[in-house]
Amino acid sequence: MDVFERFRQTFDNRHDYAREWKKRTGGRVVGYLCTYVPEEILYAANILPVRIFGGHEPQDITEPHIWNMFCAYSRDCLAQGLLGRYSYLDGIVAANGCQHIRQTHDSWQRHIPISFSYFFYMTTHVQSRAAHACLPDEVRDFRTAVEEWTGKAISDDALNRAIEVFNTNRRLMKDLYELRKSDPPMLSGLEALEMVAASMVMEKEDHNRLLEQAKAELKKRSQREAGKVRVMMVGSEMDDLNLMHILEAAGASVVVDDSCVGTRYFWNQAEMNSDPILSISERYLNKPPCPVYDITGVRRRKEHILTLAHEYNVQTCVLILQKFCEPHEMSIPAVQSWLKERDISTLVLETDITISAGQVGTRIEAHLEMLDQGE
Amino acid sequence: MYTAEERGELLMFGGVGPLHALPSGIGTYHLIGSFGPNFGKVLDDYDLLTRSLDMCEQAGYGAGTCPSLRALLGSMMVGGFDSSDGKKTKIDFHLETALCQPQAQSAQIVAERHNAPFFLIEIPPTEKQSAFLIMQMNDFIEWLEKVTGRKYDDEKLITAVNNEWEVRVLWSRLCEQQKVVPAPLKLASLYSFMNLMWRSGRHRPETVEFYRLALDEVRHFVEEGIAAVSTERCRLMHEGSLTWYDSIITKYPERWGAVFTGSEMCFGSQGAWEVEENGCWKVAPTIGELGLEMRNRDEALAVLAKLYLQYAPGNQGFALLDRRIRNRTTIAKDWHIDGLVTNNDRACRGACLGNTETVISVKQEGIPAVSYDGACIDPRDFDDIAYKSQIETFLETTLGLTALYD
Repeated sequence: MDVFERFRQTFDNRHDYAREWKKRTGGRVVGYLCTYVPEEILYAANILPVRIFGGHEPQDITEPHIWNMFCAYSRDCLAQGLLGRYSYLDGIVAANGCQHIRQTHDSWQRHIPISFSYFFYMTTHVQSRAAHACLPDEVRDFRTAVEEWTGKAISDDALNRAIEVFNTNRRLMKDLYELRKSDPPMLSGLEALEMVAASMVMEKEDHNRLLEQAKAELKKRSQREAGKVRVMMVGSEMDDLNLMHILEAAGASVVVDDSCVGTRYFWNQAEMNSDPILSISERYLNKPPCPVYDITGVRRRKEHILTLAHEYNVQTCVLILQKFCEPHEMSIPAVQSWLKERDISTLVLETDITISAGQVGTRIEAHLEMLDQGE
Repeated sequence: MYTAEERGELLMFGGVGPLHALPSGIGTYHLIGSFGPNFGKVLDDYDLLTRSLDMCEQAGYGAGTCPSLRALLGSMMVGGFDSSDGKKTKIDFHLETALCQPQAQSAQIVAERHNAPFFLIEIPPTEKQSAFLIMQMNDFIEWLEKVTGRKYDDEKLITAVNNEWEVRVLWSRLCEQQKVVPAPLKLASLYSFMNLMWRSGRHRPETVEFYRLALDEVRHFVEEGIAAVSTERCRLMHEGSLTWYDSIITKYPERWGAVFTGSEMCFGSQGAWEVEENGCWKVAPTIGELGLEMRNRDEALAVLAKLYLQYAPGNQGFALLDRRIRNRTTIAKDWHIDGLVTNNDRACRGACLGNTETVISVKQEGIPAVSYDGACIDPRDFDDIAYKSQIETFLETTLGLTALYD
């Protein structure tokens, strides 16, 4: 089976994967709700961290718990929990991210049986000196909470090993993203998305092995056909494979992204340090931020987005706005202005838990056609 | 305010939540709440308000973004931010707190537009993180001296911290009077009173004096049995932002003798409370009662951090939702509430965070609850007919009241 097919199947069947892993190892599985949760702590405790994803299907069970003008993702995740799709989870962790996902975490711990629930206070003011001084205490507290829950100490050696495994994962995914710089890119946007999404639900060493295999397979891959417009996707939590498929079917060649199921998840590494807690803290403080963690001083997202746009020779940018995602909606004018300075056009696509394929496809086609005529 | 510069005083732009005492070491400063000096005027003028909102939307800030930002930024775009004679508002520095996350983002957007020196302080939820807050406050002081070119005076800080703590305690004592049946004040009056803290700042001696007088007066109402609404027979609690441009929310239920008498948002955002083990709110002790000493900057900042992290449960609720919901539920019981009304606002998520779970929690305590679709700042999104219909059904069918008058 083609390695990208393995990524796809693992992501599509992520609940089966986690159940099988649990049965095989006897370990615990913890769901996390934001990429600012330091997974390394869980991994070092022999826990499988899995990102909680929505199901992209109509649902009618979250309204008593989350106001329906909270973002689609926050409601879709809770729906999956209430529907029992994540019944194998032993615990859940949220970070101090957007207000919407905090609501998901609160409702989850109220209504879905779970033996461990943790709110990781990830400081949002990441640019401040104080955040660098104080986040290690939060990471230490998280470590202690996990130790108390499992009844086992997490050694520094185990943490260092977790950092190494995660760093390898990040490096390999970045290597594969490098292959998207060519024209046409060596892997499609859909394949890249499936690869990153699979990383979030798989045992990292298993995923690393697949990434090595992917690198080897891509060397042998003959030039593939791709859309003629090089597109960057910018947005929040973009796990909708169907949307990516529609984009690429409409003629886009998605070459890079600024998304938390993309570069924001793996772009920077943890620098190895004598204290693994410091390494982990610095890694999360310095990772490419989402708008929630980019609220003062010079916006760090600007450099990340423009560097990617330049290096990946991006022609246009699709801004994916999850309906009612306030942090991203508030940042759209700024992102558009940065890209405009570089003569890169933008298209804002608002999406919901489910999308209308025809409508979205038509908008993308129209946008790409206009670009074509402009050239 | 517009003449502050002529008097050599400073103008600080900031939201409703900043640590008002903190900048005081630099000398007298005036506070422009994040809604700007003419915000009331904007909210009172339908045409101006909708023009402001439209303008902001044209700039790319859609209807799902923070409504306060849209009204503020929009009013700046249509010229509503400056004085009516066209005098420009010159901001010396901008301090905002990261508490309500969209509010922090709004501040960033406004600061970029103003090009004023901007400093953000994140207020964490618990005392465990006090070192984080204190370090940011120290950095702010250093920054403030640089951007204003003025020397920071620790004695002024100490006085301001004393004032801010006292104002918060006075506010809590005043809110505590609302437990009395019938209530001495309506929720709308409470918010009007609260406004002074947002506009003048909690750190000023005249603010302390005002709330001492206000508390005396409210206590007098209680002693004399004076009710805010003489026909009070049902006490309502409101969570989520009120509809600032229209008083219908609070006034309409009075036809049934139902009076809004409080809210966690109103009591908690400006007060100082000690939350007991069982979740009950007790007015916080004063600095003197706690025996806290402030002899230097470090001690003053530690006291200020204590106030915000130990005695401000309203702040905690943005991060720790379970506490917000528990707080609201205990307030509903302790303030003798007969029914909870929540505004599921179409854009202000910070204020309506936890509303849905609060409804479940409060109902479990045997207190009926209803939610309506509100729009605290955008009248184009508010359906007053639907609100009236919902509240009428709630009062008559759920609470069994009949209207006292049409």
